[in-house]
Amino acid sequence: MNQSTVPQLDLPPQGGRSAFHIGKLVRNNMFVAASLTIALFIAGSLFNPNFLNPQNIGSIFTLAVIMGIASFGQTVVVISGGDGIDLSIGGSISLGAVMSALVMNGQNSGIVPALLLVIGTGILIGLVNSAGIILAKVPPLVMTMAVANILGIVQLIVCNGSPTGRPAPAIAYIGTHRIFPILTVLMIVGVVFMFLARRFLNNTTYGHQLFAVGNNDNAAFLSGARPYIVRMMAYILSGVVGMLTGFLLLGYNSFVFINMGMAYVLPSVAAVVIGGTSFAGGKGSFSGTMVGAILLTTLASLLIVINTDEAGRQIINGVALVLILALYTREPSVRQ
Amino acid sequence: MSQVRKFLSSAGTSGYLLLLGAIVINVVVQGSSFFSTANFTSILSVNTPLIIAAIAQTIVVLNRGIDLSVGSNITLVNTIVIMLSNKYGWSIEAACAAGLIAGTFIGAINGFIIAYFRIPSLLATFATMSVFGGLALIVLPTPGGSVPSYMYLLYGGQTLGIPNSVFIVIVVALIWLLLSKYPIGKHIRAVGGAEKSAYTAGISIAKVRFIAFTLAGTISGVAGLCITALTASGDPKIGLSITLNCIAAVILGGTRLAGGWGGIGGSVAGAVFLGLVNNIVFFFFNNFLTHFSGIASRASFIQQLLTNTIIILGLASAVFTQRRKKRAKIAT
Amino acid sequence: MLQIKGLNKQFGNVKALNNAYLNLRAGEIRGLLGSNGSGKSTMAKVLGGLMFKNAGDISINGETVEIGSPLDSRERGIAVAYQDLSLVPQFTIEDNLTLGREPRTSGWKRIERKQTREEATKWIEKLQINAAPHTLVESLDPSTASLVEVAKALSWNPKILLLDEVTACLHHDQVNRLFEVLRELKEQGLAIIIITHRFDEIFKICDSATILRNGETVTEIDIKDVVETDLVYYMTGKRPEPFSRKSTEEHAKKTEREVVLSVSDLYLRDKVKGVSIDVHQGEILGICGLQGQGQSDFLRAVYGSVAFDKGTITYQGKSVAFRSPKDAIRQGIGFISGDRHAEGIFPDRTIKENIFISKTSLRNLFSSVNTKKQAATTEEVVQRLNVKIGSIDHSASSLSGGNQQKLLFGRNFLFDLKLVLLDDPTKGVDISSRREIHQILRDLTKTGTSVLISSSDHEELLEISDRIVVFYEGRVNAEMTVDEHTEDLLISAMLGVRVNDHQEAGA
Repeated sequence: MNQSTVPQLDLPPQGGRSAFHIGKLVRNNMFVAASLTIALFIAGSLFNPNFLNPQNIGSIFTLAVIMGIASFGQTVVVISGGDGIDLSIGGSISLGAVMSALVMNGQNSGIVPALLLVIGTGILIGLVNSAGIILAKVPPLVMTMAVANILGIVQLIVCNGSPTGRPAPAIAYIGTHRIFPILTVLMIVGVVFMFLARRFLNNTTYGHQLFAVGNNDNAAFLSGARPYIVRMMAYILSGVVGMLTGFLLLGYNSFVFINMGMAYVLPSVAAVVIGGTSFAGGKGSFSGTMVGAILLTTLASLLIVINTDEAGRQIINGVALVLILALYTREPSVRQ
Repeated sequence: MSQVRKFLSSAGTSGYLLLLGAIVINVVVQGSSFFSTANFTSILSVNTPLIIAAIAQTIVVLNRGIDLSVGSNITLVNTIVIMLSNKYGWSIEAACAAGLIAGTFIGAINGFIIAYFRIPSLLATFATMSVFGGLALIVLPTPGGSVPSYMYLLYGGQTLGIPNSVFIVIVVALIWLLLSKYPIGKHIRAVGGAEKSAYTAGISIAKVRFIAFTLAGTISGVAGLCITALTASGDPKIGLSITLNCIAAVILGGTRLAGGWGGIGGSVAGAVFLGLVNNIVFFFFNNFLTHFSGIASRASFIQQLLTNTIIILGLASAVFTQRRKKRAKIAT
Repeated sequence: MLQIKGLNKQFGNVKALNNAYLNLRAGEIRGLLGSNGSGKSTMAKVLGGLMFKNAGDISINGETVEIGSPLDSRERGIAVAYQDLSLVPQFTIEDNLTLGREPRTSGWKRIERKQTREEATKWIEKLQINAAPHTLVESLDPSTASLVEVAKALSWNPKILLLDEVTACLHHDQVNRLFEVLRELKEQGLAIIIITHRFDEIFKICDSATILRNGETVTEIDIKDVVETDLVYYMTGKRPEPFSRKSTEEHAKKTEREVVLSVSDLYLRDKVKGVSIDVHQGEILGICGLQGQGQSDFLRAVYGSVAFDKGTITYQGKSVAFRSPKDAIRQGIGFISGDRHAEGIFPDRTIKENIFISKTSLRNLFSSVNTKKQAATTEEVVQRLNVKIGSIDHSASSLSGGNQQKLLFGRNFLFDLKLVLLDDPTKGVDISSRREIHQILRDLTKTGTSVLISSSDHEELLEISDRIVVFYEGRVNAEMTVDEHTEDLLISAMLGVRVNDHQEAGA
């Protein structure tokens, strides 16, 4: 064995690398969003002291709940990675509302058939999206856009151009009843939904696989997960929850009109982004999306209070979104 | 590589193949009237705005971006031209020049936000889409207005048997093809294909991105002028379907959304394909399906459904021809 | 020519470089050595302008410089060939080489295509790159792509050249040719820093070396003054224990045990052309060979992550053809890839999730998960494998390469493994983690698990394997038990020489 002629050196011990927390980032986004929301509330009250009315706050949060549930599917799809995005939820919501109205037609007995139909159709929508995205490898952005177009037409065919029907009394109750000025039944539905969503994403085998597939689908496959099935389920979930949102929306509005869901599509993407879910996949949370939904709804309500017309509202919405995006969806610099 | 493989994997192939298929089917359902100058002129001049918008979108997609505000750009330019010429009495030429400048400016705003704030282009242009759409509503609250007749006659006419609007497309295409021979054209693709590698080579990512979006804005402005000439009026809501369609055209043409690969040839073919699909479905109905009663009442719905389905199939096949075997996982 | 002093670079709480220094003269080839996470690549990126430093001085020829961007770096005469490559896959070789400094025509200043082609041809010939200038980089195999990366750096005509792990994917003769070129350039005054893990290369080409450890420069030495064990000591702080290769009898006895896996005449596209292999219980069978000879594809065909075209696989006496990794895992087969970035680790997920993914995937799609139980098991596994972590809820990206690789073992340990397949698992892993992984494999065999390990490092296989088969161009070229004379035979076999009368069944 060769003898080394080098003297012993006093070298420092090899320590472990210190790590950074996943939770911090997400919480950070949500913290900023929450602060912004509070700021908007204060700004609103400056324009109109009634803005901080319990009644108004309740209305805003109720709208946010609908927005949030509408964005649940988007959240799951974006987490699933592979450039996942679902632009067809507007179509699902509209179709869901139209179908529910027709089937329920103001009768409580119509609730179960309506639900079955709505869920079944949602599954079908998810399957069609998946077929295009997973089997034919069409980019999700484009496939879901095309499906959205189709759903818009199907909606027209189903009601022959003019939608009719009303929600069942029970559903209208859930959609509109206020327990206290500041607390509506829908808000409670929202809280329950959030709780279930959280359990679903964090404490089920599906949720675990979902995050894994989104973060590194190759590694997930090699570890025994099934990325195709996981992603297909994501689009199915999105379709189903989208249709159910339409069902719920019917209860909230008590009547139905064409393309009811259109206004939810791009804001759902915004809510997901604001909530800290990454478009690269594998990271994010539904609570974040919900906070994003609250922020966006508050902004929209604020704009109404300021009494701007449609053009003005569009512009301010857009500018505000740019500012929010500039705040915290900035991609890291190439140079570190 | 065999010649067939080489052809299949070059940029634009899927667009050309789809277009060829569409032409063949169109001839089958429409018959010989397809080959009339009037028919070509009508199809091409109606679709020129989409074709030009597809060229603009291609540049952005090559840069690994996406521009959802193309439609709003076109709308805003359209409303500005009408407003300036109708309400303020500008000559139509001056109004068009102003419109073009506006389009460039819109692109520059997009470019600035995306390049210097590093906001993902999908989200940024979604936001600016709202802003510019709202501005269009302010400029021209209700549809209306008119343009001098020589403008729409010129646009809709032919020279030497070729529809005039095609010349506009050719000029725009030549501008991009010329730029491709310069470093900026190459760098736009490089930044799109592998941003970090481009940075390592000394390229300024922000500058290149800014230029790509500004250029797309100018070209979208040209499309806005075309649509003004085509419809001979202004409409603040004209834009949304163009945005979705021009993105579809780019994909049908074989350009990869991931950036760095593709070209305007495919996108132009894709845009014409989309124009033809509408035509095909219309004639298919009128010549073959009219004797099915019961369909008539829902005809327009079913036509649209059919059109969309064909487009989805077109997208699927376009993506299919893009599949190549990658051997090494290289750039970051 | 180049002097770095007091270099600091911090990422959050992690100090990647801590007061590091380096000195380089013109015409010198200096190795920059250290374990994974020691800061070598970080230093390379700072010099290349891809990262900014937090503190420190860099001076070139006595003049202090600030490197604010890759453009700066190039203008100062520095060129870096990166480990993770800085090429544009969608471009041709010639477009990649001229990226950012395209030759222009005199009149209209368009890109001059003829000159672009000529320059590419020149470097292709010089480095003996096996591809035409108009070939798309994305269609090249990893070794050719690495050479293009080097060519790109060289084409900048730098004064200081930095090669970061470029030899990892290169064949023996490609490395030799590269070294010839480097020696030529050294004579012309080029200063070269070479980052590599391979000791044979260090002693072959380097004049001197700077050794980093934990971001600090431990020392700078002349190569002629040291031996391998000294370098290991500087890099890790420990003297490497001498290992003994097992005797031939011990190896031979294992072949008398029952056969766990028997592959017969496997064909997979043009990658695997009729391979037959038997793996006995408790045996470590090494697959040796240059990169890309079909070993990876073979392992994946067995594992079920790709479908094979022809042949039979018999596992535990039954004929099988796994349709997905899930089926293989269910039967007690594990797989560990050395490309943890692309195939192993979930960087943004917690350590706990990284370890449990396989276990979770095997259950029903919508069952609930007991996070507390998972946490407890994760702690156990982490302890057992000596993985250095902050907490099990930290993200996997916070770990060093070697520790991440151990996570992949942990993932497989949650099962009752009968056979584990490894595809170059210690590539780019530091030497102490590497030794620990070897020990893990040996311990596995003591409990009856069989190991089928492919590695680009033949010395590693000589250390741990009972038997070695050599893959060459999709076929098994040689099969041998390990003893003192194996090494020369091994290297010849890797290069394609038929060394014994091994005949594949049905060839």
